[in-house]
Amino acid sequence: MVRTKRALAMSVVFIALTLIVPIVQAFDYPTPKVDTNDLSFYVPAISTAPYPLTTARKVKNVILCIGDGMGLNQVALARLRATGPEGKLHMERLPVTGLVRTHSANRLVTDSAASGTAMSTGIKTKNGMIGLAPDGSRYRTILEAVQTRGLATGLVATSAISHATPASFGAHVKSRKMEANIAAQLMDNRINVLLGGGRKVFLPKSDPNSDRKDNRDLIAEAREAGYAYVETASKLRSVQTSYLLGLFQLSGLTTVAPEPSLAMLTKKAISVLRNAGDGASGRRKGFFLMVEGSQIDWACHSNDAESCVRQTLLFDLAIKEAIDFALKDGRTLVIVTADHETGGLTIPEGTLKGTDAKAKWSSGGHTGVPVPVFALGPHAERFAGVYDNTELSKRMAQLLGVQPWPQEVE
Amino acid sequence: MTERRVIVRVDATDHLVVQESEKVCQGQRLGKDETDATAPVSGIIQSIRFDTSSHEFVIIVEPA
Repeated sequence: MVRTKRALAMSVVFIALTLIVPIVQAFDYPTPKVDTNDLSFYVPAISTAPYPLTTARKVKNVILCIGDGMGLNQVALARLRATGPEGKLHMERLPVTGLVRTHSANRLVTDSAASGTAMSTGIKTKNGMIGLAPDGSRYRTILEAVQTRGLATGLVATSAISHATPASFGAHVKSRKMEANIAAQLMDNRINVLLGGGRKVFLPKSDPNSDRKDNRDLIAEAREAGYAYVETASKLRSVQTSYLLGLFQLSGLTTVAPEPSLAMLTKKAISVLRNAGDGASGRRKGFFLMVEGSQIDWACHSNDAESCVRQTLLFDLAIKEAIDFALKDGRTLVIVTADHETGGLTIPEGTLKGTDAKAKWSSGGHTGVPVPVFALGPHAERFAGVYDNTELSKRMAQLLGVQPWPQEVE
Repeated sequence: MTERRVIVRVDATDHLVVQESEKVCQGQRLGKDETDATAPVSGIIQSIRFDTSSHEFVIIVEPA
């Protein structure tokens, strides 16, 4: 009788756990509470004229801006809603345009891990893999390669900094799901600037918010290694350092104030990297920065046109920071592209006002269509045409003097 | 307590071939790609959500 009661009680607990716990785990992301129809935050370009081509011979800095899931129609929808059909987003004023093919080693429709790896290493890999060839061999990323040449490096994202795209530039793992491992690799790589979300994989398992299975405290390790660590916009504004770790949420960012915007993160990253010195050796030789508008993809997976527009415009304002710096500096190459398109977005109707442009979706997943590339700065013309996403990496490597490329690591 | 919802996670790269309120049979493919998950039980799809952290669709199936 006692045994029966105990078995019954255990069954009830088991059923309750199967019903409740997985649901809580599935939806623990802080959903932004924001009016997605309010685009007043966006400052459009005064002119629609293209920025001038640069005549400088040498590329000193590269800022690679990746809109996750940002196909040509995501750009078009954001432009229509924000500026009307005759306007231009900031990214659309870059003087060089091209198209990039995105298929992975095993699939026509790529994911961010395989596409990020293609752009960072110059090789095709299987969906889900980060910084490795399909056979598991390890390839150097463009970030790692320029770091050995003395350039400062940085990664900025509105997702967890251990998410697939930023991970592809500073980690090598078989699966994008290995985020605790990715976070450790990012820190071990001594990347100057890491700004985004994902604090939960930096905390030791003893912390109730941790998503690690070991007791490594990557934030404490970062501090010991000389990093300044920040969690708020005000701390970010005031910090002066050459090594900066900023983790503003446990998972992805909310992209809502008081959190720092992607534009603010980008501006700060440029400021740190530009001034990054290495002790007595003085100023560095330049920098490589990757900035990701991560949540365009998320909005498109939900077929949410308003959020897609908002996230694309937030990304465009971050690109504007890169453009402003590049125009002043003259030796900075800015490349804007995407890893893949998400949602199969088309714009079947609307008036010439543009603000009423309708969105139609053909998928909740990614698609295999080519994505746009826009470029500005020295040798930007090298990014014109129609080519493979691995070419982005190869062309950046050539312009930064890294040869041969791709580079397998022994 | 007779209700036992089953949760299935499917990588969000692929287009799903099922939708909310649809009846599914055990073993039925949920995503377009053959490597994707299949329905573990027969039932009705109660909800489909996108989990941003894991980049997966979270599908809740209510067994028939």
